[in-house]
Amino acid sequence: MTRYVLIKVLRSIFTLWIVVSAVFLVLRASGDPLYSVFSLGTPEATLDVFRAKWGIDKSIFEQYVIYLGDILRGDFGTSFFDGQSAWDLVTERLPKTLLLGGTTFVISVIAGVLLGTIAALKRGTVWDRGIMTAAVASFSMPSYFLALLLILLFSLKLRWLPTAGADTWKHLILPATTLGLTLSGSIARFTRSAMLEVLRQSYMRTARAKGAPRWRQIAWHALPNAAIPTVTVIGFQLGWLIGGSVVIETVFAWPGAGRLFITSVGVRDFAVVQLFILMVASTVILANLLVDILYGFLDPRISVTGGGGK
Amino acid sequence: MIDPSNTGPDAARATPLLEVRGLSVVFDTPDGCHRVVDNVDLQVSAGRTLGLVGESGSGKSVTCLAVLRLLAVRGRVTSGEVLFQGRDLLKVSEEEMEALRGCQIGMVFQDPMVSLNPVRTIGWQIAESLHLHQNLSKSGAAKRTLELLDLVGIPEPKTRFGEYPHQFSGGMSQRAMIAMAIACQPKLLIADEPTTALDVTIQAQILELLSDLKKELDMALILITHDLGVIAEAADDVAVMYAGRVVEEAPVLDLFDSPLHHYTMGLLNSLPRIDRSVDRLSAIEGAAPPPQDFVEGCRFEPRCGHCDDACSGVRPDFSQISDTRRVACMHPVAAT
Repeated sequence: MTRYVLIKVLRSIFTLWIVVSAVFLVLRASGDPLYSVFSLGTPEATLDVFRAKWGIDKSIFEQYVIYLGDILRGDFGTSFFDGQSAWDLVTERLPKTLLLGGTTFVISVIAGVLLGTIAALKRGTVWDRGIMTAAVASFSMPSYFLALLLILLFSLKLRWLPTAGADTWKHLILPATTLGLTLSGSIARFTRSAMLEVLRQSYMRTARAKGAPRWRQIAWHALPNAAIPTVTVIGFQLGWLIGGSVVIETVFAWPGAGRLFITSVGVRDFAVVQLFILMVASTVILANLLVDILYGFLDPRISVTGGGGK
Repeated sequence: MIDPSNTGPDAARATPLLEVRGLSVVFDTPDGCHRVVDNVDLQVSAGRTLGLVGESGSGKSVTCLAVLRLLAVRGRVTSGEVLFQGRDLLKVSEEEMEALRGCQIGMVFQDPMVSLNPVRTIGWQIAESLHLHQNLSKSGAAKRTLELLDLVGIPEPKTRFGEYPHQFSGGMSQRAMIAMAIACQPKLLIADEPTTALDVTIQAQILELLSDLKKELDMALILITHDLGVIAEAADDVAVMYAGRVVEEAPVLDLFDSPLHHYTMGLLNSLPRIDRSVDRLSAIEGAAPPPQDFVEGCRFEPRCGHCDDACSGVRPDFSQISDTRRVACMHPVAAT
């Protein structure tokens, strides 16, 4: 067990190091932040003062070593623009992002699993075709386009829901729906195929031969088995959800970390962008770790304690 | 090997526990519907074992699944009656059927390794039967489950209770399946090729277990198999099925002594036997037809060496040879 955890942790740290280094390099290759702050014609002497102040006058190698050292000490740098620490800037907006992402995630998982199960049980019927058509449509449509359609209908036409901001629960509905439709669509599809696979297994016939009522066959025999492949997919979707929320926060002017990220990329605010991506990478790694642990609970054939993998 | 005291005519004449009359099952496929079970009659009484023997595809499993109404979606019963204790199971509601399954009628399937739910403990799966049909407390059900594990000969029931199917060998899994099926002391146990997936040594143990349990619980047992050795060892009465029809019925000793149908004869001749010395085992020419090639007349006719014009075209009626024997053949093997 200890060995297993140790390997996992080491591998995670390695992944994070790759991510951090790649972002560091790409950001510095993408242009000088000074030119997005100062107008053309600012004297070089002034620019040099800021270069020295922000620590980008040194060679890229020196900068990299300093940066890694800072991260290890828990110092994530300062925003070039308002001088606040990047950590404060991001964490200040994080609750809003978590609210949007969390709501979306919970509702999508429930709706996706439920709809996928119904589609599998009613295979080949109108229910199945209806749910699957909707699922494919929702996840093949770009989320910003879906967002615009929803805004047109519910905000401009019906005038029921606000289009921007995050003041009330009403503000949450449109962005969460947009993100959630896409997510639950793909979860529904995966749940359906996992369920179909499970339903034709012999042990389902055993459950019927035992006299278990239909709902019990589904809830106690089929779902726990179908959950094994479905959980993997849901774990992967978490990374997608973060990416999607960056777009959706921008479309709906949701004051979360995602929108801060887009702004920061635009102005090459190194520290903020670096921290944001580090956080996203950590979240995805944690989610995958969680999936691995969940596996052990869901599938008794996988022994985490044995030190083996999947 | 065979207990002659058990095969007297009196036992067979008792009111049957289960009586199948004129059962037909069709499967709907994209290229038409096939009648895979055609007008089958069967009966079995308490304390008796009916061996249902036939090749793969002869309809023996489908018949039994139809009895429990466990057919897959594309299979449906088109005619017939399934009388269990005088009640027609084909007419009762699904709820009543659920109450019967696993309670009055237990079923054991062919491949125990895939017939157990991989994510549930053995104990949980056996206790579920009790939970569904008997008003037991949680600890009561657990205690009874341990007794059942012990009854079917699983060593260290306490440890095994919490283990998962993948930790069980094939033989142990089948014992667990049997424990599950007999948990509520059913009146009828249907065992569909219970030993086919197991090693020969384990096969004998499982058959012995089934026979013991049958006596202990005074059950009726339907044993589906393609293995005449299993029939000889465990059955009291035998029904031979070929291409969806029963072709011969007889007490087990009579069947082995003097088969009446040429198909039964062929099966027996293809069997290595200690009491007859043969250099070469004979095989029945040809192969059993798939459902789409089923003919109206005698279905064995194309492979039979004793047929004439009378055999094709008309389904041969059963001729009642004695109280307990009947055969569906125009020219049955002459009794010796």
